[in-house]
Amino acid sequence: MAAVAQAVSVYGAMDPAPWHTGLSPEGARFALAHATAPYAGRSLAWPAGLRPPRRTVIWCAGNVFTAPLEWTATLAAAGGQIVLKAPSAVPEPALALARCFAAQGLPVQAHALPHDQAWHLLDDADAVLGFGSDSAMLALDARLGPSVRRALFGHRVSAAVVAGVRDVEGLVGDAVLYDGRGCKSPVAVFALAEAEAVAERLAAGLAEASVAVPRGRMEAAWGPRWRRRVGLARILDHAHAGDEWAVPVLPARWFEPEPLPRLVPVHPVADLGEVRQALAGLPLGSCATNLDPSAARALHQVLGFPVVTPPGGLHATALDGHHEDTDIRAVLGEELP
Amino acid sequence: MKDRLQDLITGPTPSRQDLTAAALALFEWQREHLPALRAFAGEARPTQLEDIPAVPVSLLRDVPIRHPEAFQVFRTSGTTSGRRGEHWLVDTDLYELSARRWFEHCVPDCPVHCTLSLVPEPARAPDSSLGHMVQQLAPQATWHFDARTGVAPSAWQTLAAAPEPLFLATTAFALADLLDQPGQAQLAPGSVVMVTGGFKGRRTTLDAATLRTRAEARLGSGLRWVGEYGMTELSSQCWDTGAGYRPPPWLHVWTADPATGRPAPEGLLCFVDLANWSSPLAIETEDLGRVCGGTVTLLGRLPQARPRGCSLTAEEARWRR
Repeated sequence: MAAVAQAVSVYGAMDPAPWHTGLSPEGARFALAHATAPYAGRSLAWPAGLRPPRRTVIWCAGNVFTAPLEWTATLAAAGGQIVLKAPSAVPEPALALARCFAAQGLPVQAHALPHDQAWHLLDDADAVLGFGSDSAMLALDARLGPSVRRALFGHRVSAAVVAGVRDVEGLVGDAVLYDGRGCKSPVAVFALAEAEAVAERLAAGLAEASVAVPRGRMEAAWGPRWRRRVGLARILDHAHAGDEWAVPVLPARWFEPEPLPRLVPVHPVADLGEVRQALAGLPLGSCATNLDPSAARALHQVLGFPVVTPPGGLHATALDGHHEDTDIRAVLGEELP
Repeated sequence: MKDRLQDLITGPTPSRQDLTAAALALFEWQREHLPALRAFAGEARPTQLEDIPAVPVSLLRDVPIRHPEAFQVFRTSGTTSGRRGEHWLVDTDLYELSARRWFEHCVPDCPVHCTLSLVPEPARAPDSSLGHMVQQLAPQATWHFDARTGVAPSAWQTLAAAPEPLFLATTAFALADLLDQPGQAQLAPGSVVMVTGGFKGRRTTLDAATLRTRAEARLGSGLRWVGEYGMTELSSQCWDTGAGYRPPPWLHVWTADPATGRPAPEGLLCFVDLANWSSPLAIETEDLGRVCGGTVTLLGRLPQARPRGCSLTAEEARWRR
């Protein structure tokens, strides 16, 4: 659909630097370019046999500002109305996205409201797609009537499992995008082999990236946690660290699911059992790996990652209507008789 | 090293230059003798007090930074959950010297011979630094607090029967617990009330002014109120007798930008404590504050920081009651 393609193109040409994303200007531009590049020359097909939602509310999270793009484009291409609930702390990206689509005559609008003042946006929605904290998604779910189709995504933990240094440079891009704050950002790298070499490659890559794409804002609360984790690694093993990045090397029992911007811990592990133990009980998102395909399948089957991708692919979109392993179109669409 | 620091604490107020020289020497000594600190500090080569690698207090919950000969340990409050921070010491000599000297300087004529303590008794809680401090300041103290049951009913009886000025050593939540119980006293003029431990708990937040008003209504109004700011990880304390918290000359206080850890006009309180001779001398807290004119103003906890402080034990007990 030409109007959608044009809207995405205009959106991608905007300068996101003033949007209060928390990223550096370069980081915001890098993220927007990465998010919009796959659309060039692509069409967004809606499956035959499924009626798209008439009116979809997309409840946006603040950490990955480009997240609504794919679903706005997909649903608009299918002819639906879209209401974006912009995060009140970071409203500009969703407002800009809506403007780009509306300028092409597409029925997309955005509202920047706190959660508790935005419930009325759900009126008349026949589908809701939500991203945010677990508590926000629970609250949203409770507001929806039984007939409203929904796909709500709370917090997920993504990571990398590697054996050796092959392709690990790709993880640098995964960690730099959104400063590591997204659900698809790797919170840790589990190294089955050559852990130190992996750490060195990551450190070199992050140092280099911090010149071209500086890290964005560091929240006050993150600073002590950052210094604690680097200090812990120095005491228990060792750490590579610069002003804006760190690669602490720590035993897997010190794995922590909390992401910190541009901090990518490397955990040497003996086998996948050790990884499974570290990740036990966590809601898993995506996993980047350089294992050969048969071994990589274990990351899905044994560890439970719904998505397994090569290094550098954690934030990639196939534009196939899936978020993680969920076909959003199948969930939000209605089967035609 | 210990003797040099003892001289520093007992001698005339050191110049900034002397303090810096002593701190840098102590840091190098610690780097040599505390393996974990050596690993933590890495290649740091500090030239001024703020350069000395400051250990985040949260790190001390994960790993002890311990001299091989350390045998005495103080632990942070560990009530309902979580690991406790540990402060390991080879001995408590400088801790005690520091505590006594600065208290006697800041709170002269305190009636310590008649002390009622609402903090954990060292015999029952040997890892409580607060209890240890109060015992040092007031060896004859009577103890009326239990970590499990809170303030004992005997506290009011003792307060009411006190014939002479009294030193009441309490945390904010223990004082609130005391005031929740029936009782009335008229403490003699010259009595001193020491409140410490913070007013923000896990479940409730106390209003300092309201607490004081309530206390004056029940204990008498002619009391001297003093505030103590200390931490398990430090050997020295700051005292507030009405003009802000004053650190002793051997305790350098500075503030750091929480995000970067670098010096800032206000932010995280960081300490270089030369009484910490066998334990990390530089500590980064999760308390926010400002240092002005030699006094420290507390501005609360860093958002999202884990609640801590000796008041929490009393809050837990009060909540259970």
